[in-house]
Amino acid sequence: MKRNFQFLNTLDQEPEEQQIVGIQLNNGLQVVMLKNQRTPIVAVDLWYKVGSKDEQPGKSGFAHLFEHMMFEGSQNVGKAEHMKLINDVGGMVNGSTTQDRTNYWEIVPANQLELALWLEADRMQSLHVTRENFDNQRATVKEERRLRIDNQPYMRVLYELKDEIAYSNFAYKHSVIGSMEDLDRATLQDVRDFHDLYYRPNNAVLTLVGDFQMCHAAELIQKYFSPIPAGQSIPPVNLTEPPGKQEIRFNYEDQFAPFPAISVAFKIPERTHPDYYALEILEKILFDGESSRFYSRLVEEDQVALHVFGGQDGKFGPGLFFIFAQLHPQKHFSDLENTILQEFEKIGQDAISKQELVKAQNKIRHDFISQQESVRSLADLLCFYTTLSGNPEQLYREMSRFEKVTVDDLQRVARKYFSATNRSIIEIYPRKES
Amino acid sequence: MNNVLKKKSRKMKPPIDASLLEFKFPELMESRLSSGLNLLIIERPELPKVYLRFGMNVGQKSDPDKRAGLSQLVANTIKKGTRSKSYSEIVQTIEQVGGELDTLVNEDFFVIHAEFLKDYVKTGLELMSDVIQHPSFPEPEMEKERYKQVADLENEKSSPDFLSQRRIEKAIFIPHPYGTYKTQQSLQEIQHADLVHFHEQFFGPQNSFLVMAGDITAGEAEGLAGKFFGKWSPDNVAVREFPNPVPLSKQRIQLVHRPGSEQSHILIGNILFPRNHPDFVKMSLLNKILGGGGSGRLFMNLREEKGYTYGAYSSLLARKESGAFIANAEVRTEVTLPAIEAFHEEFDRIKQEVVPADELKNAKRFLRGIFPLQNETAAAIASLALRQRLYELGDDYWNRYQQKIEAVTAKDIQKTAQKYLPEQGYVIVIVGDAEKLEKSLQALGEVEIYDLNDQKVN
Repeated sequence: MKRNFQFLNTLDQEPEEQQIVGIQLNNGLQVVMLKNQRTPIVAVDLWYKVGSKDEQPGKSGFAHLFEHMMFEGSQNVGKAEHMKLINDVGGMVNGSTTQDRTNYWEIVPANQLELALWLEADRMQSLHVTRENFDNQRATVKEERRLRIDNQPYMRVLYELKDEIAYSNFAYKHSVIGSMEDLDRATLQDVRDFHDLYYRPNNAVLTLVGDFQMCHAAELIQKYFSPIPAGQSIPPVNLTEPPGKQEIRFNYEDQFAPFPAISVAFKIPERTHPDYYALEILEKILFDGESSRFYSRLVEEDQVALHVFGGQDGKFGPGLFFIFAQLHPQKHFSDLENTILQEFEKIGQDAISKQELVKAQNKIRHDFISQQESVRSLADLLCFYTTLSGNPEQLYREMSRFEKVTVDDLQRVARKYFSATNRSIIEIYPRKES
Repeated sequence: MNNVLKKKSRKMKPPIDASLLEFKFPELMESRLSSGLNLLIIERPELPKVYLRFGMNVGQKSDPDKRAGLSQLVANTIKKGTRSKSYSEIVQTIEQVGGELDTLVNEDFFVIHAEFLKDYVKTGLELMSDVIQHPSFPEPEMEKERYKQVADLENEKSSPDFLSQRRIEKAIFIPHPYGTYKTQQSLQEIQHADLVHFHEQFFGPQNSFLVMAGDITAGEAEGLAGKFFGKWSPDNVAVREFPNPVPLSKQRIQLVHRPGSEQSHILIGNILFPRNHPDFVKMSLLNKILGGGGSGRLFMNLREEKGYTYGAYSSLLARKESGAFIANAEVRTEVTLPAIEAFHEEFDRIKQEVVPADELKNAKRFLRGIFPLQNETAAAIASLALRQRLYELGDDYWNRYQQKIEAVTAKDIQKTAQKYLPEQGYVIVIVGDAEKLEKSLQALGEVEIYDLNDQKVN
């Protein structure tokens, strides 16, 4: 029988180490804590349930641009001072934006927990934005776009085109970093509205993992976060994606690519779908390590590719299962494409050995242990499961779901999703010298 | 500098705890096998996993003349077959139990690292020892790896990071082999016998370190190490001497032409002392203040004030024989020149003005405070322990590290800056579109232009 995770109102006594404890404030903020005293440090991780999926057409890139603004000052904190204050006590700090969520985190020496909480509460309560800072950060984000995408080989496909081609719904069709034109269009009023709507305690999850006393932490959290008023409820975003009706193809000329490459993406369901577990195991069988099917066939045996990687793309909503491979210079593009499509077909048709399944499960178990080595990685996982299902303890239940997957499940799932009508293919060619 | 901050009256002061937490570097158990292999054991039983790290004092700098890329080829081929096992048997055995085993080689060292869940550590160490002691370097596997490396030269050419790094290292380090880069030709020169010879010449128990960290007791670790490495014969490994790099006497401006480039990648650097030099800690503090992370002076100037870039930093290249100080930013093409000026402003300032007491205090707190954060996992501790031995940093280095930071004064920082950031000693490397950049860069002096193959074209 599955026990539902209970968020408490207050904490009366200090729980034991290893126990995940949740508190919910009156304003809706969910707090999840896990004590781990291996090293005198603590990780603070704050997830806002807003990402590029929440953006409107014409305003792409806004969630990420806003993440930058969160470092530009709030009522009691000056421009760029957040980062400085954390660094000055020997801590690390950063933020990131995906399609589904935006996160902010600090790792600090154990005695500086209060500082991290105070800083996060201050900018949740009151962002301080000026025209000057906004223009400055917009310029910074444009350089980030050039650095990561426009000035690099293959990145336009991997970060943007893959989704643009595969999706029909705007929510996931457009990229997190957004277009230069849309960034130019963003206004200071957009920044204020965005904060008012999404950066509210009822739309956030805060986790603490590390060396601290939970009762003390709970008091600090009450002190700093409970005065922040709840916001209105967040308008739901429609993420539904119609199933593919026919194969989609696209050719792309890449100005920096040294060799042709291919991207193939199949539509898969949302993260909470039961097929997730079989798809994850298929990912391991196909892509993980040098004995994986794609690496050993494409790179070692047939030598049709120089590099290959792929797997599930990690979205909360309808996702993609993709492969990216760079063509071996002495082979034809069709050799590479045919081999890839054959392998996807084969895994649904021919028997998968029990040994291959066990290998994938062993790797998942190994990675599950590895993820628990750092407090920051643990904090992120707790935020993830709380956001996904409201239950941070799902972290400890996942392994048993992977252990229940059978060879038959794998084949059923492979046949269901790895079909011709469900895929989009991008052929990438180097730009011809003019 | 900061209008927003000045105008506003601060209502609340940040709640900072003034005390500094003491952090003791985890205890290491050290022993030596009869073969001469040095064993380091770190017991961290919290999670059922063990890290294995085998480090040797040989690296890319030992590649023979005209055969640059040999050590990399050895690293990539070493697990592709042993006297008794094929590549697929090796990889299958490791991956069937969810483990990992990889090799890496840098300029100075050769490292084979592996991680296994506790139950499989014996399997893992047995394989690791086989790969290290009895590699067979199958010829077809070597050819495959050679081909991949040749092709990867093309991939690297498309990366502005690689282009800028290669150019600056060549400019700074030649005639030392730190400035040697593999080419298609040097890779083609390599014979199968070279791999075998490299292994015979440089692999041996003496001067090598095996670190075992995680859920394993010292007794278990010694038993396993003795079983799998105890019979390794203690041959004397070869030692090579290298020419010293020559410090630059005048500024050089080098432009790598990357047609169509959307940005300029700027690197500014010069040569520095070896990693075990006593000034390393002072230089680390200087680097933190100047260009370490999102609160360094370079970041504040080039990103937060001017909006030229996504990030501007500086870093110390740690090398066994001679390191480097390198500052970097990727900026939009039209501000390349003012960005270079901004770097110089900050270099000058740290030489001319004594660092304010607060800024130094904060830099110290950062370096001291970050130390436990960086030593959270068994893998990180294993890596630091190995680094101490390979770089010959001295006994007890990590335990004295925090005191060393505390002892540095503001005057020391200024002197260090004056000594190691000489006015004329920089190389400025820009990777970008020469058609848009060459004219404006001439304001700085003579501009040397290189193509994507690093051939000088003017």
